[in-house]
Amino acid sequence: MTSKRITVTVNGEVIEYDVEARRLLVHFIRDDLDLTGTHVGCDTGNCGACTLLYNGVAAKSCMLLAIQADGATIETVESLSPDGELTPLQQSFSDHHALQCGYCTPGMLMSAKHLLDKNPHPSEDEIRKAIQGNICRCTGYVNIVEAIKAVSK
Amino acid sequence: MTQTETQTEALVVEQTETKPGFAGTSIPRKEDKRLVQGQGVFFDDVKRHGMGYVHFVRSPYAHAKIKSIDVAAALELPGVYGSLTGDEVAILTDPFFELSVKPGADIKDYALAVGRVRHVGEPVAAVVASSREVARDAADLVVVDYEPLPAVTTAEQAQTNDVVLHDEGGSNVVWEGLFDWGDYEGAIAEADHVVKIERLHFDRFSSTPLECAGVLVEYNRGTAQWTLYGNHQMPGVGAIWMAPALRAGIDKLRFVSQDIGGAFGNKICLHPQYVACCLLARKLNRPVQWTEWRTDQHTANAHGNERTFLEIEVPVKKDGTMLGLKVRALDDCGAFPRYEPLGCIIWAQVTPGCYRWRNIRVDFTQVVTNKSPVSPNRGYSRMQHLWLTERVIDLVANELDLDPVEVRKKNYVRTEEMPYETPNGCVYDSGDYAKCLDIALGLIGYDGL
Repeated sequence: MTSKRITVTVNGEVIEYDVEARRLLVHFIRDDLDLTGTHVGCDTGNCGACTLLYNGVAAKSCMLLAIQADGATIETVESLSPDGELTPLQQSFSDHHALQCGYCTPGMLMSAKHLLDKNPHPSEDEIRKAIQGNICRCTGYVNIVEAIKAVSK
Repeated sequence: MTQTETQTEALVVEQTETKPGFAGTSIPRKEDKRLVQGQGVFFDDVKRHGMGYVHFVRSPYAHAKIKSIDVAAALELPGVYGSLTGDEVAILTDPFFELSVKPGADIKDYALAVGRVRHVGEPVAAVVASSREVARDAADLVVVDYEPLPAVTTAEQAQTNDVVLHDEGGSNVVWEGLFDWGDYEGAIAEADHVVKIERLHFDRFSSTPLECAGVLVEYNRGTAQWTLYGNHQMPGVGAIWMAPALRAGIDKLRFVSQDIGGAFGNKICLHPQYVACCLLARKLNRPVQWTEWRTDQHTANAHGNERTFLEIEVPVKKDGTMLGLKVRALDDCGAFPRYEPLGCIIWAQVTPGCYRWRNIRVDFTQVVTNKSPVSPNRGYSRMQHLWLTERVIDLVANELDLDPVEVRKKNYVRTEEMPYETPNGCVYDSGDYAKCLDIALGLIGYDGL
């Protein structure tokens, strides 16, 4: 099986790694780098649990190969609060009960981060559109929208 | 010499007007902080040195004989640690019990298909390899020779017993029982009219938690104890199912659970795959991890029961008062009943639904079919029954040319009657169903429709 040495910046750290050509980015992040905050929820790219920022853009890491990330800058949910101090967005999720099992939460946070980085004052419609690639099976979405709204005033 | 003074709050606080208790307040959850940081520990996050990754070879047929399984090519692939087939399972384990009396109790249910496959996606063999990708490649190299058999795809077909799924029982019936409360014949005598509905059908579904099922199993040779890091949502029950099959005491199964990404019933009947992983961990002398693929979850995890309601009769008065209900319920539990014979009975917790009818007769039969085995899914078994009562109301209203809202309100158990004892002795302690209906109708703008 073909391997390639990739150089990728993950959460501010430059990493060199040999990966198999067929290795999905999400498995590289989770299994090789031990960053298990990014989750796998499906096998068709539908659920968004694997969402991270790829060169600043929300991307489904199960739909990318690790070798495609050669030279890229990746931010995962772990980059939000490296010292354990929650960001206003993370705190807002807790305050608004925007999570129950927490499995979709990292993906939701990264989609929300992408939105708020580009557009700090989105409308409710823009918020809903920003998370339409993220499935949640527990909350019914309303509190997630409220949580994002609360930090976008 | 330093002295430390600490102020501690009393553990028990007397509730007073100025110091109210917790009821009614919003308590922050203790798990939020780790979950919003991506620091939850879901089973697939756990790693062990030298662990192997499990991939199941699954049946593409709904019903077939297994003529042979050849794992030789799979075992030769570099990175493959080993395999498991139904022949080994049949020697090393005893069948799981079904949560049923006879005839359902006679069904033989193993961790892997033994001799026959009975639903699409049924695990037939397992391979373990050094990576997820190699495990999938190895699974593709396993050669299974099937002889397809006719498939039973509806409960009505199952009842004919033209094709019997489990030889032990001799029939596809898992359980049957007649529930009969009040005086149905009296209701017929008193009725102005009997509404007859030939057939209603509640489709099977899945609650689809975002995290798929799975487990990481370690085996300790010194103590013969397995440690399972998994997302089984009822590990105590899982242990009771698994231990006899493994011919071990339940103290030999140590479950470690932290975070689970939703379950909704889909993670109750994981014992077959868990036992396969236990056998593999012991056989291969290394930790093994199985992570379910979403496609496998959809096809072969655990659907919610499909139920067909036949020969429905509702004796009514002209003004829409419903005097009783008679129905023949035919429940489709898929290839193995497992937990779901409980569903044959538990719907009775809501026998009359929200309504005051006292004369209810339900002839209930559960059968197996060549579809995914079922397990509790969300409002399980009660949801199917409540759907029936609500459909019936609409059909009754339609036949009598009455407003379905008024028919509901006429038949609701009233607030003044609470606590209300249902025909089968359950107690509704409180509720104002008419008011709730009005609120719901207001929210959807019913009057404007």
